[in-house]
Amino acid sequence: MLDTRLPTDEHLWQCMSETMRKVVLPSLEDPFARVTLIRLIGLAEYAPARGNDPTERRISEVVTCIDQLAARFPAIQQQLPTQWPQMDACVVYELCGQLLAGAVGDNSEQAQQIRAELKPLILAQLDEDLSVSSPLIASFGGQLNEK
Amino acid sequence: MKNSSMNEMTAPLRGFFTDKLGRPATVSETRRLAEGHSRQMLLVHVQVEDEQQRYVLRIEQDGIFGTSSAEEYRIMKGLYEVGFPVARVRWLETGRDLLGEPFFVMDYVDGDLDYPTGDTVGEFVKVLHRLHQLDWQSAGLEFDLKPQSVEESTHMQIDRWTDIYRNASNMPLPLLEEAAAWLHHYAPTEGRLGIVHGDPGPGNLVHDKGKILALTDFEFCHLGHCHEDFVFCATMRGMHTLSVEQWVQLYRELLGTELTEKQWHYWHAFNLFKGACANTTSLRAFCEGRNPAPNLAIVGTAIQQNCMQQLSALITV
Repeated sequence: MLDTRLPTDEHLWQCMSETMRKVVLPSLEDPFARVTLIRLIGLAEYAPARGNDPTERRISEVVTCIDQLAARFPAIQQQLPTQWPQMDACVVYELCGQLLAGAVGDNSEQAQQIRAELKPLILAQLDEDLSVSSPLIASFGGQLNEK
Repeated sequence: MKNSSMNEMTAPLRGFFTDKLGRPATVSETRRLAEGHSRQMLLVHVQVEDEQQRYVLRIEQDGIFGTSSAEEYRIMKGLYEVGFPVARVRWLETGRDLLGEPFFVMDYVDGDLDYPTGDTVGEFVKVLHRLHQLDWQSAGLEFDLKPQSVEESTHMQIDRWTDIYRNASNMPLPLLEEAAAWLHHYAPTEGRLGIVHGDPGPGNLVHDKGKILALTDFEFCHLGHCHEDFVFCATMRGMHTLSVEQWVQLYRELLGTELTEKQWHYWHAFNLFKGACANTTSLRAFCEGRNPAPNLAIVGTAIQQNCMQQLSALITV
């Protein structure tokens, strides 16, 4: 049953987006104000689309991938920080960056596997972010996205 | 200084111009000249007795893009003094007391700010080439970074942008770490060390009747390889003016310059890296609440992510 005692965040974002689109924007003539409002509308529609914070899941994915690489390549095993696997995002992403950077210009089996396994995972996480945020690119240029 | 506080500047600016001009001055009009994410650009009409003077204020915005007004002012001053087409800079304020941010003042250049068309585009390419060829040592130009060669300059710039991203971001970004390593690994070892504008192209120049009156926005200017500018203009700032192929043709016809595929690939990656690193500073200013403007939120998310995606596609072995 719908609880109507308090509006949800989603209701509030929708209220802002709709009001800015239908009431505020048509009344604006100043070009800078219009572009700014279109960007704000984009953000009001981006905010509720983001869903839950994916950080924990993503770290877990990266840790799993690095563990699999470390099991096959002793040099990676030796690079693991003490208390690995830990779920501190900074430590995990720092190691991930070191592995990708270390593989540059290297055609060894280890470097190839880092590029083949770790990089696609990081790219998939980036794609996931962009799939939600990409409408903002049009907003940035002053184009109102279709609803 | 936030966009909303433009009217609040009138009183402090009256005192500023009175002091600098040595005569009683009033600010009769202040309006936005162009949208900038790292700098606010304002046209200010100053009434000095019977005379109206026009100046442009270039005001920093919360350290966005990690560039310095002091260096930009110094470079523009040096360029003006050797007759290069830039606005004449007048005064630099490095403190935050007056407007809340460092800024400098330059003369207003009366011309067209719209994107150039026709032969004006070619004139711009020639002026950009002039900048690249300018003897900065004889001109007495002082840059913050002082490389001795193109190779050193490229490594310095990669480190500079890496530091900017690392200082701005609370989390390492593995794709930028990989890109930095790739750029270092494949950095060009040959080429002439010259002045690089860093953000050249339509939107960053003033023109009139086919003549380039001034290049603007020197905040990214540094010593380096001119290929950085050529590729930046063709693939980023100038992409709505001409196609990449048309820019390449123009460089070839006017300057006799033709980049190899490998050179083009490298400098395209370099420019995307620079953009991705710079954009992290926008998100930091936004998330810290120092400047909660919508453009900064978007530059720091979608635009930054888009830059990283394009960059990663170029970073191969």
